[in-house]
Amino acid sequence: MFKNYIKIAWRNLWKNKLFSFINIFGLAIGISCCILIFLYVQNELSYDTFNEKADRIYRITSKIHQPKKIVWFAPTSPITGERLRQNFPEIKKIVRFNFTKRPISYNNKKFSEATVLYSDSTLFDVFTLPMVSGNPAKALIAPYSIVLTETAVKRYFGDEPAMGKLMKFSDTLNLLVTGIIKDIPKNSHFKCDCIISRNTMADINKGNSDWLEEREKNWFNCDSYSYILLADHVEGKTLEAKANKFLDKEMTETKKAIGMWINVDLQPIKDIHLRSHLDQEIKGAEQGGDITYVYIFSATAILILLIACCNFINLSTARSLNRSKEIGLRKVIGAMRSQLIFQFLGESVVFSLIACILSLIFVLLAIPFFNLFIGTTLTLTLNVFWIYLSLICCIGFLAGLYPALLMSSFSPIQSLKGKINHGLADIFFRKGLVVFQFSIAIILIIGTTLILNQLDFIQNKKLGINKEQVVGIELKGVDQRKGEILLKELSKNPKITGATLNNFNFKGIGYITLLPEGAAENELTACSVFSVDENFLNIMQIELVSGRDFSKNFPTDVNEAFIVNEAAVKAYGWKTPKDALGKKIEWAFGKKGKVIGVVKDFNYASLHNRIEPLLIHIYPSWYNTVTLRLKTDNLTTTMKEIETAWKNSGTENPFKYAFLEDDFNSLYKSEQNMRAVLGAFTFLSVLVACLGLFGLAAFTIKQRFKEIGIRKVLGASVSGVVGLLSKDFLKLVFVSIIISSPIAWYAAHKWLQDFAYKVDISWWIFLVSGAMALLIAFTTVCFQALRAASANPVKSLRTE
Amino acid sequence: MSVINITDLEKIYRTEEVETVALNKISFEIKEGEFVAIMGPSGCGKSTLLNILGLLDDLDGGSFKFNDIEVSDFNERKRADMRKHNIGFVFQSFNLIDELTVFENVELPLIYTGIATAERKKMVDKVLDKIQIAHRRNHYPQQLSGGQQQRVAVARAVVNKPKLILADEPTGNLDSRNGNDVMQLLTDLNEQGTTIIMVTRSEHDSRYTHRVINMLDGQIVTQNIKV
Repeated sequence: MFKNYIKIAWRNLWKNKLFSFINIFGLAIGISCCILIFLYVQNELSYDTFNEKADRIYRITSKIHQPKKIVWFAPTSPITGERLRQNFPEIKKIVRFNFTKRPISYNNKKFSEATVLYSDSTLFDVFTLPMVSGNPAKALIAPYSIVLTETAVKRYFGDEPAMGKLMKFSDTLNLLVTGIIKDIPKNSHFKCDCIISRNTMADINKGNSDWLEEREKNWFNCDSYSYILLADHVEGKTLEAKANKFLDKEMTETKKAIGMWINVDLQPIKDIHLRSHLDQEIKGAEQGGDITYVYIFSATAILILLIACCNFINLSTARSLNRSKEIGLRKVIGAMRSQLIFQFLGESVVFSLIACILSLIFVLLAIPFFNLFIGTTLTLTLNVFWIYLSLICCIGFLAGLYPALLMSSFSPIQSLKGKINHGLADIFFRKGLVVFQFSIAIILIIGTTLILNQLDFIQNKKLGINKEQVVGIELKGVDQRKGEILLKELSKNPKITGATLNNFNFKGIGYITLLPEGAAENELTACSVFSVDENFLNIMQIELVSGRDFSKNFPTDVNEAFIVNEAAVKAYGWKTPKDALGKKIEWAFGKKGKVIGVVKDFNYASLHNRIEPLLIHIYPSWYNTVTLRLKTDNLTTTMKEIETAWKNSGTENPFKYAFLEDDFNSLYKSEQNMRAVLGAFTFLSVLVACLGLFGLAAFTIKQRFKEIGIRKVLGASVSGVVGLLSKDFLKLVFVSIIISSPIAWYAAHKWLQDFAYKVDISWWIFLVSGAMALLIAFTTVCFQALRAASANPVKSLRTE
Repeated sequence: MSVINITDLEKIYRTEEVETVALNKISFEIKEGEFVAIMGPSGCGKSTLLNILGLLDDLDGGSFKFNDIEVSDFNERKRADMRKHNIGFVFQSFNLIDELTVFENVELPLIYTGIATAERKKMVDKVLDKIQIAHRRNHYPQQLSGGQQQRVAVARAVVNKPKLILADEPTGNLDSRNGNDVMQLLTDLNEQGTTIIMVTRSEHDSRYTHRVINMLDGQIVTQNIKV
């Protein structure tokens, strides 16, 4: 019996090639999207799960309470972690990370490491990082110990043995290789190839008692990423509450004195990748994930699959007329309804099986592109087999059930005569499916257009800082004096219109806690800060609204002058930018000075955020970039000349540069990814929906062949007939537009909430998207309608 | 013993406004081994009657005994079961499934009655031999002439060895030579003991039968028993 079903299914499939192609191709696309997204989601969810104790590892993040607001940092101060460990036996281990950019070299082989990690010796107790050689219990205990990954060993030592060798750190210090670990997995939220014992940091600064006081004992010096391993069966939330009670007590005095205190938030390590968007997040090689995109992508993939299923349902029911004879006959011969239902379900399973095989090819072809766009490293895993299996069953059932129920319900006498009248409910249901398909397609069209619009808006927004033709040369780890030599050298180049030393970066600048004039003693507040030289404002074309720029003519500018932005003026309660001039600003730790100028607010960070108070000052030891404004012509030669100057300056560090424009755009990487994926999805959904419409139109028009003949005999024109046939379908698309517009508006509105600066959702987007959908649908139907309308009427009348 | 015994059989078609009496209190009996023709003009109710006799349609009144079992209150499931074991159908338009070969078409009823593969093959081969179409067993219906197609349809109707064959104008779509062939085939089957009820409009075909039931406007006009 089963063989018979398969046989019929297979032969039917061959007999109706258009129908089969539309169904299988559509389903294959839907399935491919689902598989790709499944791989993506699986990868996103797998972050940090390689740690055997992942369920017990938490990160201590700090909520710094200030008089008027709370700032939430991913790292915390070393002392916070240490005190908690001492007082809570639930914390089995703590490991603290700091990152540095100091260069590492071996035998004059120097590479620019993205990050070098300082870590406590407890690293291997908390994280699962298998050691290839060395003793994990001892490797990071002594200062000046370094543990390398296998990749780093290859890079520095080639095939030489690395264990026990000495490497150079910051050109002058020696590091002893005490361990080699396997590369840190790609799905780890932190990545690095070189790990140095954390006490090295203290040892380097051992002459500097201020440093120890400042770094290790200050509650608010939040720069250490601290991970704790909890004892079995300890709830993170319970401990968190206890820890905060403890911290409140511990900081009563501080709170009174400066109005600030710290609370902690224990973050499960598995949540960091997708759910943590804190200030000062670890900057890995790639951007952190976002659970919103996981949801959006998953939903879209499933919707495309649903569109494909709708095609199957619609075409199968439309086609049931052609199969009525078979159904009737089977019933006459004695088939039970259940047997027929089983047969039709079997057919849809066969279809989805073939679609799955086809989709396997699609997925294999698509993975490289997907990886390229999203920046992932997905591969096809065996797990996919189970997904395929369940998809085959799900789709087979989902798509096959309605046609099976409908077709098996035909009366044998009617169906033998070929007189199946689809009931009103059935016709309504099928029209509903078309409306559903097009609504999804239109929502996606609107969504993609809007994202495009917003990204365009961001890229072209006047930031208040001119980012065009500006390149930053990285000075990290370069001697300060060499940086100045380089600056002088480059300033002479006629292709460079300006050069400035600074540590400005769109991707993130520092914070400082300060006390502005007029605030109470205990009203310290956090403020963004970066340091510049006297040329910065001029070269970056940042507008001053009052006061003056830094100047070499005022030697005191180096130590006691600040420039603030308008947002700061407002936040500190100073009346006007003019009024702000001469106001005193005192850092919580260190520098004191007066405001000498106020700049117009400019976007110094992502447009996701409003412009916050900003402090600009001169502070040469912070400089990590020399920023150049270039003339537009001949960029390649200019860059080559810069590189030569770099080499001539005597630094051995690799030449690294980035255009400000690219840095800025990289802030919207996840939005750009989303645009790429959503764009592709939109195209596919429209394609699949149109295929369905094409098939449906073909069948419907076939059924009206005689009517068309009669109309033509009576004098109808081709265009009249095309209009008549298209009208029914266009009506459905029109209904889709009306249904989908408010949904799309709501979704777009939600998405835009994430941006402080956003485009208006304008009516033309809906109009254009709707018109596009109508046009696409019309073209699809038109093709069929034209063919039917231009056929010889005698022929169509004879088919009866 | 009677295969079919109906008393006061009624069938009424209702639409919103019109009520049409298709069969008006019909009674007759058909004995085992009989070959009966039902005749009458278009719309007299003969096809409706055949559908009811074939348990494809239900009745609105009266009693219907099949093999002495009252079947008028059978549900769809029971009717399907009764059908597949006892009744074979032959149609004017053959109604072979285009996607199945001759062999597979004939095999189909056996599949639904749950007969094992090997046994099925034997039965189908035997019946194809009998109607002399075995050489075409792997052809598809479209590759056969009308007469051949109808012979396959007859083969399919008898492969299950049903008690009763219902034939709805079996020669209606055939030329006279092929028509005669099919009628001869039915006669042979009848002589081997199968009861046959045939709806026809052809006087010629009715001569093959034992008895003609003449109908008009949903009623039986004469039941002419020939000897």
